[in-house]
Amino acid sequence: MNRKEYNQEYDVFETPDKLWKGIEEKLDAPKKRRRIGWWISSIGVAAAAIFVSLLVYNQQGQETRKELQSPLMAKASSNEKTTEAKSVSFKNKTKETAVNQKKEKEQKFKNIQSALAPQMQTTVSKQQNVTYTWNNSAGNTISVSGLVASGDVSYNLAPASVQYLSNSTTTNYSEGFSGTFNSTIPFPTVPNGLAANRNEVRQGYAPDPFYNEDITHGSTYDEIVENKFIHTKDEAQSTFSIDVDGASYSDVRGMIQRGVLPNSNAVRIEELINYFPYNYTEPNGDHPFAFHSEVIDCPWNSEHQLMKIGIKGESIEKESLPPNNLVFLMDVSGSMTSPQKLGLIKKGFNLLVQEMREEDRVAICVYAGAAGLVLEPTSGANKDKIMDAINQLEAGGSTAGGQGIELAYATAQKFFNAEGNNRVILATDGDFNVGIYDDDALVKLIERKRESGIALTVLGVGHDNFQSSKMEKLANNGNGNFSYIDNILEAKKVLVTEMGATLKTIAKDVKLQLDFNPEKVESYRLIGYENRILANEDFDNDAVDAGELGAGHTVTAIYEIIPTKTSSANGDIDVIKDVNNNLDGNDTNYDEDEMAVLKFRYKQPKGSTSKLITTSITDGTSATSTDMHFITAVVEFGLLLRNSEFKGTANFERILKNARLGLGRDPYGYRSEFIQIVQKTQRLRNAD
Amino acid sequence: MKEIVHMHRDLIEAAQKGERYAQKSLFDLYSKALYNIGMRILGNTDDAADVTQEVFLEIFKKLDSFEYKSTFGAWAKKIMVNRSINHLQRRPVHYDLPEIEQTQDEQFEDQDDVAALMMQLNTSLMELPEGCRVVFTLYYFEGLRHEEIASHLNITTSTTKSQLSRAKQLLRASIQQKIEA
Repeated sequence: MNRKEYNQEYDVFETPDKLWKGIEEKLDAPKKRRRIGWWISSIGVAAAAIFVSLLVYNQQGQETRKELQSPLMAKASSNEKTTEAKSVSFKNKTKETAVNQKKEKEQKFKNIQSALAPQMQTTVSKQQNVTYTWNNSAGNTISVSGLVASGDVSYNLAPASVQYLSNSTTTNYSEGFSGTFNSTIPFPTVPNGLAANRNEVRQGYAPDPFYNEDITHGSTYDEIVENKFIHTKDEAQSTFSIDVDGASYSDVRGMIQRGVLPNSNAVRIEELINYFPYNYTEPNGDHPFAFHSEVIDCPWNSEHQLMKIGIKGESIEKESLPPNNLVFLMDVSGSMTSPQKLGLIKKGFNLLVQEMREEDRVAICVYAGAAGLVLEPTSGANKDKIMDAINQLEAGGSTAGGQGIELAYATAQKFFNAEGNNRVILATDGDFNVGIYDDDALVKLIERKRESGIALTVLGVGHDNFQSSKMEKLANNGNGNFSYIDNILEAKKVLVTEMGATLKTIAKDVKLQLDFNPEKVESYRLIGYENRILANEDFDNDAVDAGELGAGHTVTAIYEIIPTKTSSANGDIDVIKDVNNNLDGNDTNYDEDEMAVLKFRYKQPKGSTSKLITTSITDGTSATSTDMHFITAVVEFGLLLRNSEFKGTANFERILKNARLGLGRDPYGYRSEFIQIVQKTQRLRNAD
Repeated sequence: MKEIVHMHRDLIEAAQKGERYAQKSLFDLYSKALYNIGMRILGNTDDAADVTQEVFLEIFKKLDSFEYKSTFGAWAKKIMVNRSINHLQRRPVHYDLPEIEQTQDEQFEDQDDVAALMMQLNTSLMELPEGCRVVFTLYYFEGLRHEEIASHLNITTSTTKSQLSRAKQLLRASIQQKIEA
């Protein structure tokens, strides 16, 4: 036992949030006295002063509330028999100290209350905007704003919006918040709509919209609003950026394997599809891509069709890949202490190092309490040295990811190889304390670095506190990919099998645009890619960033199509064409069986102007391919998991049937594993 | 080869000038480590929080005298250990060995999870009688020698040694009990 090493690993107690406030107040003390003097002298603003005191009061109320709530939340968690339950918030308190603390806080609370109660009654005498901000147990800052109605001690916040500051999404609660301030309830009571799904709610405490997620899953996801059907006659063009991530599948699979049905916002159908490699033929023309399209009847809606657009990026043999200048940036903060986190990353990087060649360079940076360079850029020929450095890493300390990223970029910059692949590979559980950076500043830094030719790949591990949306945002802005790693096979898939794709970009800013033929397509719906939709005019705008495609990667998108009623069978084609010609701006001429024209734009990895490829998608009659069977199974599974409004007759039996038909050669066993996941989901659903 | 880059030298310099963002950043970087030292020595959140606050105020006040002879972290930790011990001595501590109280606590499902094990150790540590806990913490976590601990706490080295072995014995029993429970 090395004593020194123990220090940081054992830092399991979270610093209370109020600590900094106390320090800041004391640092501010001289200024504050002046301010108070000013308040006293200005009688005219006495009402405002009371309002300020109300806010202070609220803030104190929130702190107290939070202290009180965390043991409560933990109690709820420990009742749940999920492995995640233990990860939440009770870790830092024994029962005894929690109870004492609770008593003390309640007393303090009462004192504050009795001191302020009279002012409050007079304060809320006119309509005012009030904002409540608090942290829930998942560590998200939530703020509720609204108008306090007139009346002495009652308030009404309606309609209110709950803002998840951590990922900038806003949810509206149209039923609003209402309640009363009185001697025992100084904090808003929980609105009915929100209280319904939590039985542990304490009267007088603000709602915790993350409550359910805390129990099942500590990760955060942006809300997915599914694409709707669009009438071709309203808008014949559909534009989106490619997305090669498969992270959502690993994440969903992990949850199901642990016996938890995933939150619908965790299910990104395009990432489910693109997790799996497909046997699309290699490109043989001028461009480093091949296109594949297929149109079949839609399994879950007999009147619809599915249109598949598949893209295959040119595969590059490892030997002919340009030299790699890689910087592994590893999170070694206390939260990474787990064989499933740091242990897995170390194994994965070791596998990757095995593949390195003499001309490749690997450097290792770590970040925790401090950021440090553990290994200077080292040739891939010197595998032992690199692996020793990896294997020595231990977790401990708190996280300061911002500095780590700066150091990693600085290291990559120092050994920048103009001919090579310059990339920072960040491995983290996403418990990312960005220090002096806020999210936006960090995104800007990554964008700046992207322009200087250094890309970012993000590898996520751990499931208890994984900040999926933040990590994906970072990777997207760094022109990189984001993968979630939950076992060693996955690490191998991402870091070794797909290394060509993960490490070598063959095209960037890849955008797709489809012009649908109104004679064939009455309306269409893009399945998935919700956060990748682009404005039609951005297709031709090279300044608009889009996804990148790696060597050997396949990308697949599925449109669900409602075909135009076949009046053409009666020889009315000309009539329809006349109607078509009257439509404003739609002067595309389609061939008879052309369903859509596919336009594809990409830039060379270092280019700044895009190239355009155009191809047409026809309503072929060939038999459904093996891949297509599998893809429809994956999509149908995604729709069921999301409980999509477009799921139609989706069911497990058909998913399994199509998945088996689509099994193919399955060299890595990914598709067989998918079948097991579907079966497990079916059992979980039945058990519910 | 292992070289810690002083990434936050600029922060320290800015904090010396009283820049609030720099002070906040230093706080963000080091508060967890310091607070945990406080928790282990003082055994409760309120005292640990109070002392952590005091120490940060002291750090910001004394920052001008920081000369980069050690890392900032080591310097800050030393202040934290000293202040925590001072705080401890302001309240009565019993260095005799009371009977062990058996407390039932949360169970951890996943024994393989190192983090859970650490959590267990920390929970058990918090359950130790104060004398045992302080000696164990100073010896194992802060790396002090028996003589140093004895002089800090004004007790003899034979007391620190018996406290340490008692602490280990109690911890072993407590963890064993939790694993079996």
